Amino acid sequence: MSNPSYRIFDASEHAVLIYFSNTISSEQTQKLAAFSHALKASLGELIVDVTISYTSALVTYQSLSIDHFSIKQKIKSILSQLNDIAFSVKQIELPAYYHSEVGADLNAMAKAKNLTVTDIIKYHSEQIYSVFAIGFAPGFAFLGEVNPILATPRLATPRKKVAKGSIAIADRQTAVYPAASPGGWNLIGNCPISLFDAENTPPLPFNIGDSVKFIPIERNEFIRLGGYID
Amino acid sequence: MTSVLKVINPGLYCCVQDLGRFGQNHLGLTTGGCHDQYAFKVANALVGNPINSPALELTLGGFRAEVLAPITIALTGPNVGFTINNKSQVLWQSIQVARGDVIEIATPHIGLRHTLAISGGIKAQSHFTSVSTVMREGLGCKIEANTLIKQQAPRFTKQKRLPANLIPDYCQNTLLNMVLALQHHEFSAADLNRFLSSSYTVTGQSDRMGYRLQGATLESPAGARFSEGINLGAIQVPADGQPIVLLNDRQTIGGYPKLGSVTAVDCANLLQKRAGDEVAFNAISIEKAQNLNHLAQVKLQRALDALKQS
Repeated sequence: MSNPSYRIFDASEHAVLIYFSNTISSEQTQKLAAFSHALKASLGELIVDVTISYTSALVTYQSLSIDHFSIKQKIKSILSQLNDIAFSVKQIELPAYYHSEVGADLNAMAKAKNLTVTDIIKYHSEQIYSVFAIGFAPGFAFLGEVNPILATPRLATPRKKVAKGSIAIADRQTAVYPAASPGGWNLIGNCPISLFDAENTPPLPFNIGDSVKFIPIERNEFIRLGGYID
Repeated sequence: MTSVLKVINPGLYCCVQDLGRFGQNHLGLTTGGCHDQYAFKVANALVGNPINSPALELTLGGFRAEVLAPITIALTGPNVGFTINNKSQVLWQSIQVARGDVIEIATPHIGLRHTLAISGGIKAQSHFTSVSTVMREGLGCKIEANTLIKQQAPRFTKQKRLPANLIPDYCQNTLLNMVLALQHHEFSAADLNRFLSSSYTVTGQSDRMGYRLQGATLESPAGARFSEGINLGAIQVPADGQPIVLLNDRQTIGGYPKLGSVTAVDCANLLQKRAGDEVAFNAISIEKAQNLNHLAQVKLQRALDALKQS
């Protein structure tokens, strides 16, 4: 069955943008991942790149080899078979040291929400998150959705430097900074595992559509796993 | 491999590029890649290299290097003062240089970026299928003073010169072809007309990631939206109403509304503009944009064929 909710637009003379719906869900993200996989497998070198993000997939194609009518026909055909494609996702666990010494906004967030730090750790670590998008920086995964109790807007003034591994919250999303960078998210802890490593295969432990769960760890374990306190 | 060049002055920004890092958006990695495929591929063909061989990209000239071993070089891009041992040289041709020679490239009067290819290609560390330099991602190689440039493999080639009729005219590219696409229907018709009938000035906040333009203010369609993939050339309009054209080193995803895209061919023209230059936009159909891309490919093929025969 073809799903009437797919909307396909030209983005340029070499790219097409497909919206799956207007809302986000982990099932849809898995479907987007399955679509990307099927498209690359079926069209091979005609596909230059596929960028999945929340509700959409941007398909960059070889416009010297196929015109925009034909690529859209092929995309529609793959979309119509998407419900029949089995696609497996994995769940990965990330150790998380939640403490104000690595999470500069943890205490302020607890105070603002009238919660204890223990509550915040519980709410953040009990949720299973979906990887909705990867971008902003190499390996920066947008994970959702955070329990609404913890939802906190971005800082008014971004920090010039956020430490590598920082676990952070912005609205109903959470993320681990894969490298030191400027950033405006609220810091609540640190993950001692190196997430993005250009020299590793695979360079990232997860893909879009996979699930992520944080496992709270103590300071000793954090240090043992290679964690670093500024 | 032996070093073939010692860079004395890299200029404003000098880096190693190839055609780009494709198929890696799912990791959050952008495409990068040479600023102008025609200039890049022709430069490589002039020195007898495969067209995707790593070469140097120069920004606003100001480049000086000493030759450490005999090689062939070729410089492509807008006209610029170019000398070897203070003797004037011509762009778009191959030049044999010997140990001790000094290559100097002045500041161009028009245009911004050049490709400097060396025979055998530059030896550079490849990451994710490409040597393309994207500083923000910590990938590739930015060239500093005293950087030693190594050759992948020695390669000897005949003297070659691109026929004059195949050299691009860098003075005549201020009108950029674009297609109305993406969220263009969310902009008012009056604003789309204003965008297409105004000229915009390139601001100082313009680089390989994107060009911020200044001119007629457009009303950015309101409303929260999820970040989505950003294609080369996408024209986004943030809340301040001033358009930004996203280019080779763009972020892979973003949430600002976009009214369309500059064609890939004309993104190369935009990347030759510098702060203060003026550009305007010409809306064309997707079909015409694809045709123009095919014609650009035909022109490139003529150039490559001419160099193969010479």
